[in-house]
Amino acid sequence: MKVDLSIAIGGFQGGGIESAGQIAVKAFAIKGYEVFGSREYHSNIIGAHSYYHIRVGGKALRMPLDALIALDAESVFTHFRNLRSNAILVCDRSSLEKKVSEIPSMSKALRERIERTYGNISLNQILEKLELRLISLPMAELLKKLSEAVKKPMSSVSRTLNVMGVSAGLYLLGLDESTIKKAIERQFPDFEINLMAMEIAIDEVRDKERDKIPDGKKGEKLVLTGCEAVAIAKLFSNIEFLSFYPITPATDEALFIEENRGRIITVQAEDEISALGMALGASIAGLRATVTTSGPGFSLMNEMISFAVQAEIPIVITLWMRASPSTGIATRTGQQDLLHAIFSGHGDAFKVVIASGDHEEAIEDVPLSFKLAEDFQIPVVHILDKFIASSLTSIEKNKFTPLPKREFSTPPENYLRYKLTENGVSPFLPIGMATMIVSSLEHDEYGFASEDPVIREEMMLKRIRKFRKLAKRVSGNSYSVYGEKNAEITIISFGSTKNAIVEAIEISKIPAKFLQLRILSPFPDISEEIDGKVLCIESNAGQLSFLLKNCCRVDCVAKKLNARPLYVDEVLRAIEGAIEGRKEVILSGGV
Amino acid sequence: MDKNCEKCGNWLPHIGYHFLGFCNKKVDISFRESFCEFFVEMELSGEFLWCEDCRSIISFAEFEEHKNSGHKIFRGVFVDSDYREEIYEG
Amino acid sequence: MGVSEYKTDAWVQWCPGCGNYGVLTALREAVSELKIDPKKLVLVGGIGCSSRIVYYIRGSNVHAIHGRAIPIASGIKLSNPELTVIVAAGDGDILGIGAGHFIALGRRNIDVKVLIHDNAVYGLTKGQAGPTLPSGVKLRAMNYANVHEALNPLLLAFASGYTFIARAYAYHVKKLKEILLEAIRHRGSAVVDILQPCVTYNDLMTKEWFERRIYYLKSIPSGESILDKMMERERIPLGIFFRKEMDTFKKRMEKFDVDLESVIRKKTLF
Repeated sequence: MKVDLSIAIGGFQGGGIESAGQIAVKAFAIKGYEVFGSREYHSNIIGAHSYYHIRVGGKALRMPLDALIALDAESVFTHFRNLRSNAILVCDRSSLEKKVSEIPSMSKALRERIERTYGNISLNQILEKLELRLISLPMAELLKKLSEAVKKPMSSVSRTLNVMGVSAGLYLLGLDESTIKKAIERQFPDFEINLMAMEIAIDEVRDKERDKIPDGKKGEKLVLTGCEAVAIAKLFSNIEFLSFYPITPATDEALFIEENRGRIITVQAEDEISALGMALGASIAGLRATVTTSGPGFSLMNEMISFAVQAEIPIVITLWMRASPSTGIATRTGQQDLLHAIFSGHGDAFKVVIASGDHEEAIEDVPLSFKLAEDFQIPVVHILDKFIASSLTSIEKNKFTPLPKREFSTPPENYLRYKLTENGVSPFLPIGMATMIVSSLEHDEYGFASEDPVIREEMMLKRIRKFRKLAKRVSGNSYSVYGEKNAEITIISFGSTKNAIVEAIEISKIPAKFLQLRILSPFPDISEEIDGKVLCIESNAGQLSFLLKNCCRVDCVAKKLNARPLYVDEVLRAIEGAIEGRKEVILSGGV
Repeated sequence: MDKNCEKCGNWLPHIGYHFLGFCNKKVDISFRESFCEFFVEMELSGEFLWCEDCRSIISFAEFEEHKNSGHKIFRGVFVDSDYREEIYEG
Repeated sequence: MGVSEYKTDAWVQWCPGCGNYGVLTALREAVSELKIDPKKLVLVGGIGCSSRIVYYIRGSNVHAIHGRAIPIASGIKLSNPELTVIVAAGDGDILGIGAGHFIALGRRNIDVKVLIHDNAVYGLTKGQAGPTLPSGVKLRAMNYANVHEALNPLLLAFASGYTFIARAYAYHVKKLKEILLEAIRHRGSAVVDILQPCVTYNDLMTKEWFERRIYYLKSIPSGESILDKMMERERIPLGIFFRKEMDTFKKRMEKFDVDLESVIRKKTLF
């Protein structure tokens, strides 16, 4: 029996949704299932709606929901339209009387949409219309029971409402008590009160109809967010210097490294310009250095990137894309920095851009980025997005591989930092080992500034040669192919849309193929791989399709513009639209 | 019940859970409907108040307007100190 | 190892009479006296006439971008504390576009020396008003009189936390060299505001203008007189205004080994 569940846990921000979501993910991972969880949260507002969306038995999010655990009324109003018939709904009994108009924290736009369709309706009235397995928990009573049982003040007890809700929900979905208990212990190792809360909640629903879930494949796994995965991969890659400026969603990665830094030099800079400047200084001095940032920070780094190209300094910049332009929506996802990453830095600023499709790819791409940066003395921009950053999944420990430290040869007499060579790569020595000049101006082989036309041309050709060599090195790995050989439609995409598309083409009635671009600069030659119509899917206004038009015909572009992750069902709709002959499809799934 | 926590001057409503709130006298969370011997009348004064219906802080100048619309006003609102761990900005 | 050890082949492009010649001479003499191995001498320049000094002193130098010499120098010093790291840039570079980084270096107290080649103009781009030019002054290449107030670099440095603050004059090469020696020997963030004429664009603050006003402090001021001396405008005091020993950035950071095993253990489920 294949277990495939789509579960949402919703509540007000500050109500422990993060913990509840993590408990659920951990519980299914302990039971031995492939599990993926994504947190959707609102910028900086206590009380605003936030939810966790979990997929068990798959790597991508899909609608409809099989279960909703709603810790407040707003969660039900927000998600009820996505529930399938006979889905499980766990909610607080006292919120059943609430009307739409009585929830001030709900966005005006959403409230108006609901009132337009249903009027000023109450939760009870909505639920009557739907066929659901409704289990309402008397939260107040359960709290009282817990308070008496543990003889602790209400303030400690009231924090366990999220644990109660998620325990009841997981139990009804078929997880056994000992699995749920293990997950809670991992989440809250020092607070036994949560286990009592779990027991009381499960007691309340013991007599209700319950699903069955068999044991999955057990094994040692790490449960990590994207930020943690990249951070640990960097630690395994023996980084020696990290500088950053706090920016969502990159901050979590930087703080994780800072917390576990050992002898790694970590600096919180005064701005992103300084962050990248310091990292370049460290790299010039021979350390393996990196920075992490998001769109607005990357904008600031542009000038430094051009410097790194001219002065041939190895550096890895981790760019976590988010909804843009400008400050955009700091806590929501998007893929809007593709062209920015590729064309960053003024001038002929050749650099590598690598896009990871999920956590596992991110873990591989980290050491690859450092290797390319150092072998070719060039900036590497590793692009991911908020969706990967904050989503949680289980990963095998052996996915992390160590990268040996940087090594330097003995300095020759009269060392030339920018020596002209056949492959364009000069032997690298850090400052401190030989005299040289590392220059942002066009320069001769030693590094002296030069305006001479012959020297200038030689240096330009050198950098071009170097980039061509790099392109040859990566040409075997710049994209992945999934799906049918004789497909009617070829989907092209990059980044975190990957798993939704991979799953969609498996179930699509129309035979489809998927080219996932992994390296976007140098841009790969995919002309031989096209079968049938070309459908480009991306979460921006058409940046990849703009690049693709240089090498192939693009029949349809499916754009996800609502700052939410891509769902499996949306990909199917995009495929249908492309086959019908539409030139553009706007995908609006997610809440 | 007229002299329950909801009407008491020692009590602040919980920002997320409607049925809970914080009692300054007992320095602990209590239920909205419960009552005890330490009841005092609510005094709505001070520069800033909390409007539960609007779920936001209002200034004293706006107090009359909200009260006349039938909104429930309190001296403030209770936010658990751990909530900050879940909140993000840009 | 004589001073000639630090010469390069590059042709010096500064205008005859430029204060930078004084700085070049004094700096070469200072590093020679300290016997600093050129491989371990790191001059980091920004963009401007003065930053070209990185081509004229033999070392392991970096010619960075406008306003950003300080972050790059900071990254270098943190990575290899054995290096002597000196930032050399103009007042426009360090106190205009680079002001944020100037302040941050003071806050961190990283062992980097900042030499401000202070001529109150943007020389390389043809003589616009610099951050230290007083308001109301109209120099020969400016379209109208300066509408900005002059910044006081010493006060800014003091407010930012620099642990060595000095001012010097480019043409008094011996005295300048003494101050540079003190600055380089100091453990922590150091700034030397080196006043110099720009013979091409600053027709107000000439050699004569300076030499009528400058005088040397008899001793390092203390207490209230520190600020008094920093703010003095009628005459211009030169010398060391402030010096203090404090933990550098490096010392403030703890050191322990990365325990990869425990990181993995914390995140593993069984």
